[in-house]
Amino acid sequence: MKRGSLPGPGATNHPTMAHGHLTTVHDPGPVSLLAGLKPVALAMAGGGLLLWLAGFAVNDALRVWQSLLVAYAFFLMLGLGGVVFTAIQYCASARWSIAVRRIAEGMGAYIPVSFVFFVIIVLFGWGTLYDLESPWRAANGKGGVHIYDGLKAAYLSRWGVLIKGVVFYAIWHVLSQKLRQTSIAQDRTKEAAGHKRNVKTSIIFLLLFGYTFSLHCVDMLKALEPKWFSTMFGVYCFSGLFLSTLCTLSLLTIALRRNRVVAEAIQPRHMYDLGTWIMAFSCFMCYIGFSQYMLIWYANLPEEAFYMIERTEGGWEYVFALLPLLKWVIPFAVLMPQGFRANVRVHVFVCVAVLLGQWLDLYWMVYPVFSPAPVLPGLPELGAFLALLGVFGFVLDRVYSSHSVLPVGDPYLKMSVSGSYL
Amino acid sequence: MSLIEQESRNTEVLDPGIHDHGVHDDDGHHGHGGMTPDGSEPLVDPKYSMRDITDDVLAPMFKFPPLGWHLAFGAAQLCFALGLVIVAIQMYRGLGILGINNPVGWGVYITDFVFWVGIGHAGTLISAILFLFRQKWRTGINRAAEAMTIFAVQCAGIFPLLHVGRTWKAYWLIPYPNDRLLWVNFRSPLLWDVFAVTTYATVSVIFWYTGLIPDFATVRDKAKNKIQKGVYGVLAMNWRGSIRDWAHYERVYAQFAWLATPLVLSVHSVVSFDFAVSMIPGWHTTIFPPYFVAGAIFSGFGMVITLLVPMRKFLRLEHIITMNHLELCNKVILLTSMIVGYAYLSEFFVAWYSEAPYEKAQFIYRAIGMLDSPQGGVAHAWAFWTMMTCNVFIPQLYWSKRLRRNLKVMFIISIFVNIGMWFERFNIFVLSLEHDFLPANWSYYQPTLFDWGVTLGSFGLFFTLFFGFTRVMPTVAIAEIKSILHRPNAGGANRRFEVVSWPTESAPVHPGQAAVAGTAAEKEDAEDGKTS
Repeated sequence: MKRGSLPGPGATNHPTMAHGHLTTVHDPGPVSLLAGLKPVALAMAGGGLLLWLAGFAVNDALRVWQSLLVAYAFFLMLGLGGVVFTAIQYCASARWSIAVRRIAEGMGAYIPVSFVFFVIIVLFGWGTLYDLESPWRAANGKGGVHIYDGLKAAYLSRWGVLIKGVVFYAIWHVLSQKLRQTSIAQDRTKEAAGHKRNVKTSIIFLLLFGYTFSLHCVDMLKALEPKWFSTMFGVYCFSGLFLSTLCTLSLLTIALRRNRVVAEAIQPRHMYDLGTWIMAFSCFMCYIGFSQYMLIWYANLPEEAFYMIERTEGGWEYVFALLPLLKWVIPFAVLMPQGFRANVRVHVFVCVAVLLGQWLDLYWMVYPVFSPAPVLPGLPELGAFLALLGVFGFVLDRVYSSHSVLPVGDPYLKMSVSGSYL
Repeated sequence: MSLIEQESRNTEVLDPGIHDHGVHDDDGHHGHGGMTPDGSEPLVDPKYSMRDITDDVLAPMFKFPPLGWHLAFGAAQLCFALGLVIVAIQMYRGLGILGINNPVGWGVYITDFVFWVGIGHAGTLISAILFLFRQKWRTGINRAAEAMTIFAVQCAGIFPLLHVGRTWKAYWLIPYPNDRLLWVNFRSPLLWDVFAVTTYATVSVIFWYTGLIPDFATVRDKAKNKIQKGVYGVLAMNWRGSIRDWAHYERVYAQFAWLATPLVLSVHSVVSFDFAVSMIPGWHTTIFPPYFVAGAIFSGFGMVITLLVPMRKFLRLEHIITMNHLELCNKVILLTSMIVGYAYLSEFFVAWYSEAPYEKAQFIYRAIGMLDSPQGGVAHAWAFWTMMTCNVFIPQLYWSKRLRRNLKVMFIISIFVNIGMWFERFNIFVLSLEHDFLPANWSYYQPTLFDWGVTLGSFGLFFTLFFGFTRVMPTVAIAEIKSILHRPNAGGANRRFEVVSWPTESAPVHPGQAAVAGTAAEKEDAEDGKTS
């Protein structure tokens, strides 16, 4: 394939091409995410697990399983989100993001680990969380709920959810692995065709993801209130997924940019673009959240309004009020000045706020089912979150230490680094 | 900066630097369809100079229109005139001449309204959102798409005004202080619509006009007679092409893009609230806002293709609005078709999942249901299946690159998209009202000729305006197309990023770390050379 005299990226001598002078990208090779902190991550995972298990003795089983469900959903969305981000970049022929793509790709490696937690929840936590006959439901005035439609009862049964989950995880895992493997193989082979193959895989992934993820959220989160329904629910979960993924990606990028070679490739310009994305999708999140809430509030139909009522009463309204603050006001207002959008400290502040908002959002979805007043997050919540955070960090550390953290074989990496796509 | 050089008076001459790499080889031109941003294929063939672009875009403005244009313009005006006659009859005799009944109080008029507002979405999406996403292919189509937007919003505006019955009292929609302390109902989404649509129309017009200023200056400078020079001189607002002019222009343009972006989402979300805040089964569903927005973008791009395929042919702009531009539009159509497909399916899924009998009944009615009427069983299931076929099934043809790049195919598909999106709205509004909670209420809706007449009239108005536009304004954003002309990867719309200086100084060489080659060409060079 000869491109000859075409004005190729970085190769041009056109006077207006301001970025042409950065002509080499160095391969940073594998970079350890945690470096010296690896024991800390392990201790976090182990300690978190102990804290979480202690919950069975100290608190009740319901609380413990709820805390795991929230942490499970939180980290599954990050794992999936990394792949979604990657796939969207491929499909849109985006060039700016190639420098950070490998970091997003790596997040997909968490998906099979998440499957373990899924199986644990369905096998051991089912009776507590989803069983309509459970004593906790009766205690919270939800004892008389029945699913009359036999097909729906089967659909939301333990086996139904498990079988669907196996299929969904298989799809996510196979396709995300394919994306990653092709990209990693490219590091060695440098063949441009890999990029095209990945575009195709990405299209298939996104097509299936849209449906499988929505249905999985129905199974795991919406089915806690099996009588409640909202067509927006899948989109709502997706917007949370994408926003939290962008923030995690930004934090991971900041962590890996401690490596000088990485910092030369992933420049403030990339942080700026990530900041813009966070800002844009915080608006999207707010738009979707507002639309879902407002339409249910306005129509005030008993069969769906009860969901919002129990989440905006008895103290839950304060949690509810925090959601737009953390997930929209802070990212939108703080990232508004252009100078802030490439600032690492600002990024850390905003991303932590948004991720806290995302955790609270899941907490606000899960906990009110059984508790009319907010349960102050305590040891089980901390334990489950730390345990999964430790595992997540450990998985990512292994991923980033096993191959280069830049897609050095991608034919367009240099465009991304030099900024010649601008 | 380059744009400034390009636009100053004496730079119609080709930049000598361009010759160095302006020649495209055989690889550059085929088979890289939608991959324009990667630099493998320029959006506009580099063999055209800036003078070519100016002359070709302005050509239709400086010559007497051909017979074909007169015939088309005449036909559009005839349709518009017919619409006006029917409007006059409706004013005289009242809304009773329409097909609306009890309970179907919202029929073809509201369908037309939402249809036209939807068509109006592509323009602002292309001009604002694609600008912020640095999609340079927007430069070829944004002007015509924005014009289409404004004309479509005008057509949309007609219908609520007619539908209120006493159109001469339509100003009551606007809240203003009055003696009797009467206020509009701020809690009604219909009022939110008044604000949403008027804001959208205002911002779209200002945004469009802002983009037109440098091009009006070009027309002024090229004008063949005094009248033209005077008119376009006034419109160009004394544009000189100075650095100050450009600096202000770019600032304003970027800020309008930020301002217009939420409007793209808000206007159709508010339109969807008209339905979704109610309790009617099939209307009250939370996914409506994003679903309406996706549908609007889908229909808007459908209309863009319908208009641009003939326009680029008759105005001889095939080299400026290229097959790549059209293919990218078709990709957007395919994407949004799948998003509306997701919304349709999620509505059906939730109708089943909800165990809500009315919701379920409505969706069964839409797909396979019948209504009893004096004439026997009647149904609108055909409207539902028309919608599904046109919006979900037919656009799947675009998976084939050959079909995405076939002018005849894309023109026909775009017509189907327009039809499908009209029926989507018909399907939502009419079928839900026909078949609500009480069987005793059910009633079949049949539009009358008057309904169709006003619909035809709105198409007449739309095409009258659009045909007029193609003769009095530059149909392509000349200044913006020039900014990408010889720079497939650089320049482009969002050039503010060149001004901001990031620390991009080249990296110090680290011993033991191999340099990574960027492009395929450089990779070959690298392989030939020292690196392994």
